[in-house]
Amino acid sequence: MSNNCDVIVIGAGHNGLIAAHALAKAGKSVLVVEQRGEDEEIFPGFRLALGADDDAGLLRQSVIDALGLVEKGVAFVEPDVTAFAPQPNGRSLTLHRHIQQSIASIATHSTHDAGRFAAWREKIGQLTAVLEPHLHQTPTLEQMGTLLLGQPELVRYANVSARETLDWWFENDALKGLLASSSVIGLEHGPYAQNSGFMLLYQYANADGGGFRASRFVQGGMGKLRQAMVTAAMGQGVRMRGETAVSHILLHDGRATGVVLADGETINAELVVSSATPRHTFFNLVKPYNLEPRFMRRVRSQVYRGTTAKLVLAVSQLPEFVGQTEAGQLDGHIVICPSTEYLERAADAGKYGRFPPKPLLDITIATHHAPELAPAGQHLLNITMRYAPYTLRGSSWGEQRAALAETILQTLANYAPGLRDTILHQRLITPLDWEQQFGLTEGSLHHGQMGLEQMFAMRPVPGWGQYATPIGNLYLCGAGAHPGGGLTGLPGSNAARQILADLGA
Amino acid sequence: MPLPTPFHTRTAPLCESHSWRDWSGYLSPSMYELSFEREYWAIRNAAGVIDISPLFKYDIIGPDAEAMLNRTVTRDMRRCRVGQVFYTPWCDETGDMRHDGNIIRIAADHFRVTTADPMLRWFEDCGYGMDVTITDVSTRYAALALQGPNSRAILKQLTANLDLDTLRYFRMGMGIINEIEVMITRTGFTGDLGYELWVEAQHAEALWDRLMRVGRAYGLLPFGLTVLDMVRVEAGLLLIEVDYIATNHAVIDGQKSNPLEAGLDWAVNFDKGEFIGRKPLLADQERGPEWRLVGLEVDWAELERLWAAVDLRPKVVYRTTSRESVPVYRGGTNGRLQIGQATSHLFSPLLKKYIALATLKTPDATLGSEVDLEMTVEYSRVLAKAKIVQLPFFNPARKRE
Repeated sequence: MSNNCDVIVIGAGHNGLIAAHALAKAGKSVLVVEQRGEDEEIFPGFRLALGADDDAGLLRQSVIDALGLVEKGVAFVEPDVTAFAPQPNGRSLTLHRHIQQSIASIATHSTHDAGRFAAWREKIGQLTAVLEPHLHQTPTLEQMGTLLLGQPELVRYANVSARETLDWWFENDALKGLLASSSVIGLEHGPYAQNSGFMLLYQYANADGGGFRASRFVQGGMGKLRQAMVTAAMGQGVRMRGETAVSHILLHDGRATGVVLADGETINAELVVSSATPRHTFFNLVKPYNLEPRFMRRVRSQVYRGTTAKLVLAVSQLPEFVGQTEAGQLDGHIVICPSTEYLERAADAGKYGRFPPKPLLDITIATHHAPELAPAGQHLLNITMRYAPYTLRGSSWGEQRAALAETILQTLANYAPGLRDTILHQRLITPLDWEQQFGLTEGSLHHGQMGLEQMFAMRPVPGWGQYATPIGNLYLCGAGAHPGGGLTGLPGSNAARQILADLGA
Repeated sequence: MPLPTPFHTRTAPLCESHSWRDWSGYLSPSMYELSFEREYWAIRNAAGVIDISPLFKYDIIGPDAEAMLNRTVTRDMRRCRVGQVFYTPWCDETGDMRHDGNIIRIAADHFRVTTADPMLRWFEDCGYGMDVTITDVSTRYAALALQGPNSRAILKQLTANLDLDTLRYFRMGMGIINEIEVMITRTGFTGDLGYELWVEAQHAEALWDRLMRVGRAYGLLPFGLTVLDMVRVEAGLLLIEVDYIATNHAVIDGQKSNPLEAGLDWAVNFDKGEFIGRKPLLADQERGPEWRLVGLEVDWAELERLWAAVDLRPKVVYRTTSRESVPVYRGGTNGRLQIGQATSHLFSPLLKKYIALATLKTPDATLGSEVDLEMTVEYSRVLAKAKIVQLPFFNPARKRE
């Protein structure tokens, strides 16, 4: 088998696989190289795709169809309860897929808000419907102009803080806190800051019904989804090489001609397509001194600043939360975020280089939709914590990781008092771990923060928002490219379409 | 208020005209006397000295220093030997000129770059990710340019340890003057025999005092920026923001120019490998640059003819360099067509000609051909017949001997 190919895709994450699949389908010989191995065993007897969020709700139908994922055995689970928010006062708020049930739960907190909720969902639905087609296109400055000039309502909602838009609609802290919790995903700042308004819309962009985001899970766990994507790609003739780190991208006369692997092996290709972060791609694989200084400066100035930590707990039994009346309430997201102020104070700590004593926790129980990941009767809790700043003031993650785990468990103890005694194993992933183990620059899950200044035609950097790069024959297809992070599959499919268009195929 | 340079206690009492200019935030004499003449003739017939401390100075040090500079500038820095000085432009990614300056190779892994504009950020960006340290040493070193036919004789009196007869043009040597270590480069902005002296700022006054004491017997005079601007045009040397506009200052693309257009094609090495701006420059080279920098000369007979029309003798002497650009035409008064502009122009007291640095459309920039330079004669705009000549206008053998 020749070691050369038409296209090398760096990284076998979902975007890398989706791009590889589309390029192979168009007749290219494609090789995907991935640094990590396949082993998902995180504790003895427990498996989990650590790198992925449990919620696959952002994955677009167009991508599911293109890869034939359903035919390859991917089944989505849409629990009736989308989000459950236990409160410090022992009460709780539950959002359901069916809006009338959500309204009933909201009514126990505020009749005012219950009366507004359906209209709010409709409004968000209208705005995301306007936004949606733009996420499927190769972005241009003209497109941004169209949005700015032609969609004042979208601009109004996208340009203010989530707190602002939520205050336009609602009065109840529990509801606003729960809704705001998804407005800060991947962001450095809190719900009182700009960009949270946009993120709120982005997270609802593929949702329908009366719930919280899409809250859509994969039967058998996220590993199944990835495996189906691999199967789809290989079905088109894509070759895969795992545990294969790329040392650098080969350049000749300012163009990419292949890659050199960590073991020294050279693979030549017509095109190199990177799903790694732009910073990693340009600074570690291309090297800054092979870039024009102005572009280098743009990449250097990109904001990453990850703030997300993850704690995975293996527990001997399902936890019980305060305010919980039935088991089904734990099927979706369990969110500890009693108010927007709670969330903003958590962000304040992160802003100054500390993690907060009262963090945002977004918990999913992976074994609900994937019992096979754990021994019978035992469960895996996937806890996403915010804000854990990549750069700690006066300390390091080596020193602080135990304290962070303890803070998360303490917070959890307030809402699920018996949980601690059931813990069998735990594993913490700090922003530094995201960077070192998963290649995510500064632990930024979105491959660069999704601030408006780094969105659309300005993603990853102004002037290079069309997947091509200043290095000829090198393209980006990861979350660092438009439309950004979250498991949408759109950067990969958009990039592949643009690459084929550029090739005149 | 601009800052004093390390020589200010010495230059201020001599600045009879009280005519100061702001040079990169420093007080710099425009002219020491009320007339430029003595300073001007000192440079060409004896020696002059100018305080060039306001220049920006950067140390580029490290195993990758050569590679960093080689990707930054258009010349091949691998060919710059230790003790050698390279003048070179550098470009941005469009191939247009970002700046130009002298680079002194002090050691294999140590260069010093002198520039008119601040360049730290650009150099840092060019060297990011390389094993190189870039330090702004602008205030650490004071500098003097000692220029003119007597400059070597004066310097020989000052420093015994350095053989100035063998120090070639654009070479550097370390001299000891009054027990002070002085880096001496045979460089300057006058197109004449001359040296530049680089010294740690705390020794500036001692160096000045010694130099002036010895120089008196050789007719040494301090000179200011006004005269420098005259002699540098005679020397055919470009001034940033006057004869070309740096890319970071250009407001529109049309204001930018690349080294090929600025007469610096000799300083662009396409064979050395990648450097910033190489691709667009190579494309421009293959296409043929649209513009060319040329020298224009209007001879005395033509000046007399123009002024005779209004019954005057030529009113061009006692004027200094004008940086007001004027149009250059071809085709005479009838059906004239503008082919470019003269950006620096003056009557050269030494050459007895009106000379100009001009940027012309390449097809009209043939050496020896005649063009029309706009001049003002007693309030009226007229066209003077000017000849395209080889630069520099003034190129004495002593400059290189």
